[in-house]
Parts: sequence; C-alpha cells; structure tokens
Amino acid sequence: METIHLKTVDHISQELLRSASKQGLELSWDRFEKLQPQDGFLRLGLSCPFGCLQGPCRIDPFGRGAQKGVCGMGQDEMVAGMFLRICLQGAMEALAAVTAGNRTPDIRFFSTLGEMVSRVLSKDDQEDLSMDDIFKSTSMLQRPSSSFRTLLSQALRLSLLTLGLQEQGDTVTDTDSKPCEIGYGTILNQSTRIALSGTPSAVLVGALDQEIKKDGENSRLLVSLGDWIVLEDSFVPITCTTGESELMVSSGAIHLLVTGPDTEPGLIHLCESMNIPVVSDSDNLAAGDIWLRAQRSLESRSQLDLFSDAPIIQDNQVLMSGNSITQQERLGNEGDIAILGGSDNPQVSLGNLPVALATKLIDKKFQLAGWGDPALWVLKTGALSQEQAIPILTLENVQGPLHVVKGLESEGQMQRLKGICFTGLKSCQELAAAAGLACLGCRVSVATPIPIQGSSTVIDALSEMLQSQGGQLLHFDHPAHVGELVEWFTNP
Amino acid sequence: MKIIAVHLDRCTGCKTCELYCATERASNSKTLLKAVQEHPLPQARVRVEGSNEVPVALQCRQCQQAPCLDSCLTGALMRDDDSGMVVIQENNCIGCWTCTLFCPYGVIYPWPERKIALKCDRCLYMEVPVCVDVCPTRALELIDVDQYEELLRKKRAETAADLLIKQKVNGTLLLDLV
Repeated sequence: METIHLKTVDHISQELLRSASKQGLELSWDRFEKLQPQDGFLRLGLSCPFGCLQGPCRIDPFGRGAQKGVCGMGQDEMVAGMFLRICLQGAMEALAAVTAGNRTPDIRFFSTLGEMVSRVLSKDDQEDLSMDDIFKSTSMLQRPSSSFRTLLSQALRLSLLTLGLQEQGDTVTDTDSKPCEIGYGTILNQSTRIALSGTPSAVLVGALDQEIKKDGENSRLLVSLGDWIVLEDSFVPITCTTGESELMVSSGAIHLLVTGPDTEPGLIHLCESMNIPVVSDSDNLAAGDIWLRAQRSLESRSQLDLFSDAPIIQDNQVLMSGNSITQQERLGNEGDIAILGGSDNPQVSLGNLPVALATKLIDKKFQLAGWGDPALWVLKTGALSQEQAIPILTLENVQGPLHVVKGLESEGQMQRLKGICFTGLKSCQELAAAAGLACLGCRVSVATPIPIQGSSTVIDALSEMLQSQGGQLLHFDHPAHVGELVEWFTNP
Repeated sequence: MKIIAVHLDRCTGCKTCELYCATERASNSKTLLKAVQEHPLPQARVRVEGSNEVPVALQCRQCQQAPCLDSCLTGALMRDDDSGMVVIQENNCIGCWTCTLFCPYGVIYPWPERKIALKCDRCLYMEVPVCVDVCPTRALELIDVDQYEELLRKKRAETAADLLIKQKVNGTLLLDLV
C-alpha cells in the first residue's frame, strides 16, 4: 500500500489500486513484483535468440563462465541476433495488421516515406526492401553464421520495413482528423457498459456501436481500455491508458469485455475472477447477443462510485495524416517540435515520465505532439490540473510519429523536429519503429532499457550505423530520468 | 547463526544468484546493466556448478572448523563474533590465495584484477543476502542453524514418503535402494 503513489500519478487509479488490494485481486503490478528480478541474461541480450536446439545457451557477462554458445557464437553476435529477432518480431506484428488473414502482400511505400527510405538505402548501395527481407532474417536467425554487423544491418532494414508496413496497414486515410473522448469521465452512471481490448474486428465494433445506438443509448457505453479503436466518424471513447486497463475492470464498471488480438491474458483472468463475461471476436457472436449478455451481467453487480468527478476530454481531435499536421499549420511555421509516445510500462510509475517531460518541454517553448499512452497521460493529467491544460497534438496510433516526420519532410522542415521519445515500450513493433525512425535520420530516444546492453561493441556499432544516416537511437542502462531527456531534447 | 541453505530440488541453474551477487557485492554501480560495463568485471561470490540434471548453487559454507582461517597468512580472514560468519578484510588481503587452496569446497575465489580473494559473507550488512532475495524458485533460503535439524527432519520425512510410494508401485523397498 505504501508504494501506491509510485505506481501511478492518477489519484483515481490510486484509489482503484487500494480497492483492488482490498478485494484481493491480482493486478499487473503484483505480477511484476513477483517476477523481480527479471531474467538478467535476457535483459542483457545474452540469452541466445537463435533457432537452434543445442542450447539454450547464454553468455556470462562477467567473464568467468561461458563466453561462447555451444555452436561457438560469441557475445557480440548473440546480442546483435537478439536485436535482429526483436526487429523481425516487430516487422511481423506490423505485417499482421496489413494482411489481416489474407496472403502476404508486396511492400508499397507511399511517396514521402518511399523517398526517405530510398535515400537511406542508396547511401550504402543496399537493395530495395521487400518481403524477402523477412524470410532472409528468419534464415539468418536459424544458424549464427553472420557477423554482428551483418545482423545489425539486417535488423535496421527490417526496422524500415516496419515503418512501411505500418503506413500500408493504416487504412484510415479518408479524413484528416477524428474526435476522441478520453478519461475516466467517460464512465457515466450505472449503465451497461462493454469494454473493448486489443484490436477486435472493425465489423464487430461497428455492429456493437450500432446495436447500442439502436437502443437509444449513449455511445459511451462502448469504451476502449487504452486501445485506439476507430469507428466510422470518431474513435471509441478511451477510458484509461493500457496500463490502467486492469484497474478499470477491477472497478466493476465494466459489464462485459470484448477481446481482439493483442489482449493481455491478465485482463481475461481478472474478468474470470470477477465473473465478468468475456467474448472474443473470434467467437463470432452477433452484436445483439453480446449486448444482451452485457445487460444481464449489469444486473448481478455493483460498481465503485469513483468516477462521478472524473474529468473527461471531449474536444480532442486525433490527427490522422501528415497533411493535417502541416497544411493546417497546427504545428505552426516555426519553433522546435518534440514528440512523445509509446506504451505504459510497469518498470516506471504510470504517467510520471510523460507528464513531467511534457510540462518541462512546454516550459521550454517546444510544440508537442504525442501518440499512445503518453498522449493519453498528458491529456488526462492536463484536464485534472487546476492550471491550464498542456497543449499536445494527438496523433493516430498506427503510424504515430511517422505522420509528423512525413509532414515535416514534405514541407522541408525536418530541422524543426528535435526528437522523438518513446517513454515506454510494450511491443517489439515499437522498438522496431523507433530504430526505423532513427534510420530515417531522426533523433530517437527510448526511456526504458532495451536488451542489447550485454555488448558495448554492438551498442557502438549500432550507434555508428545510425549516425551515418544522421540519426540517433538513444537508450539507457536504467529507466531514464526526466532531466536526462529534457537535456537530450534541448541540447542536440 | 544464520546460513544459506540450498534446496537442490528447486535449483534450475538459472544463475540469477551469480548475476546479482556480482552486481550487488562487487560492482560500483550496483545495477546489472551498468555493472557489465565496468572494468574490472565484477565477480560473484556464489557460483552455480553441476549439470542440467543437478545444478547446485555453491557458496561458502561458513565451516565451524574453517581451514581457510588457519591458512590465512595475514589474518585477513577472521570469524565475525556477532554473526559467526567467516569474513575477509579486503584491506589486509595480499592476494596470496592460500585460502583458496585450503577451502574444501573450492568456494573462495581468487580475483587477480583486484589482487584479493573473494568469499561469501552472507551479505552481513543486509537483512537478506542478495542471492536469497533474487532466487526465482526460492532454492536458496536463509535459515537459522537451530532450524537446520527441523529442515533435515522434513527432508528425511519426504524421502521416506517417496520411498514408500515407490515400494507400493514397484514391490520391495530393497530393490529401490539397490
């Protein structure tokens, strides 16, 4: 209990944590604490990532134990292999969104990104990117015969491919912006409420929205637990960040959970322990049946009364394209730009870093843009504050910072972008995208450690490769402090 | 007197104890990700030996009649009156490593870069030794010597129960013991 204030900066979330503890519910923080310390070899990138069954092998970072795997692979190759594996996973995650069950498509870069990627590849006389890069990487990870530089180079190609796939998978291009309501304030009174988690199918989400509206009910009865889910003319209201999703469920205000791919198992287990019905989009249930189940569930439960004074951000517009950012001059014609994004991570207090960093950057006259959980945190906390809310341009989640990069590139204003900071990472796709943006010549920082710390040779080589493209991928051997990141943004 | 007990049936050989012992007890930074960048590389006072089938975390057993104490030429090794632990005063250690030769378990280690010998002192200044604290399977446990007999009694009871089951399944107990 004494550490609750260290887990999240949101006072409603703190109350929910106390309540969950009293109810004996296990949340992600409890699991995180039980897992301490997490595997040291994996955290360093020194647990072999190659697809061979002679192992598992790992290398002793302190030099006394094994210095090579059974196959003879050394420390640098193992760490570089780990980085390649992460980028491969990231590219595959982005690919999954593009294919959506169909056959693997060809990669198509649109004009601005295509030109930027061509420029990067032509510097080193590299071949064009294609889907073959995925198969080639898989092959390289079968047997460790490549040098660490080759592995790193391939990882960076995959990081660029990830950006291309993200662009290709972003199907919402028909509009410049869409409204999105955010915050615990989206929870109204004791009404039937369906929560969405992960990426349920657009067809099901649309049908549920229609079903609820058909009953003459408010569209806020369909809410998202931190995921950015698009409806026809708006986003599904987002009640909380992804890090707070279990807290939201523990409040009793959710009467049925609809899960799509990417839903964390902890959320489903929590619903099961609270007898909250869970429907997967693969169950192929009709929207009407789901709505009925949710109504039945409401009758058998009560919710905590914590949301009556909760703030709601109603006038937030999520920018959906690079055009909307520059043509409408939302970022102005001059001034330094900083972008914050990424995901909540239990390694650090939820919301602390994004909000503190945003506040400091605004003080230093930066224009802010954000996506993902950090954007939600800045908006939520700004609305709670007695002072003026922190101005931040909210970016759509699939491409996130790529919108700004493309917008600025097409306007010839890239020099205004001082940095892109991932305040936390959850998926491999995020790290692959971070590396891809650095490859395009952006300054990128990641505030939580990434598993390549086991080889300073690899760290230096990666830094050198990105530097040759004019980019940077700053990462830390500890969760980064606000001061370090402000210094990084202000002193390029 | 408290000592570190090792439950052999729970040790998976993950070496987490080694990593965090080296980090906590021998690095300047005290964090794993920084410690691996230090020179000289920090060294652990616990080492996991054995095989995949039987991994064993080994550290100083704090012998009641410790040969290392008798072998130390400079008096750097001494028994701490309060805790009963055999501790090394690094300032007095000249790195002759005679103690490493006399240790019957091989758990006093030479550290050539720092010219000292290295041994487990059960993290005397901490409430719980770091290896015990980080062990993911609780294979390492801090126990009082007075509890030792109770622990052994439980083990004997478990062994007896196990043998009894085998006897029922396989026939004679004698066959299993052979």
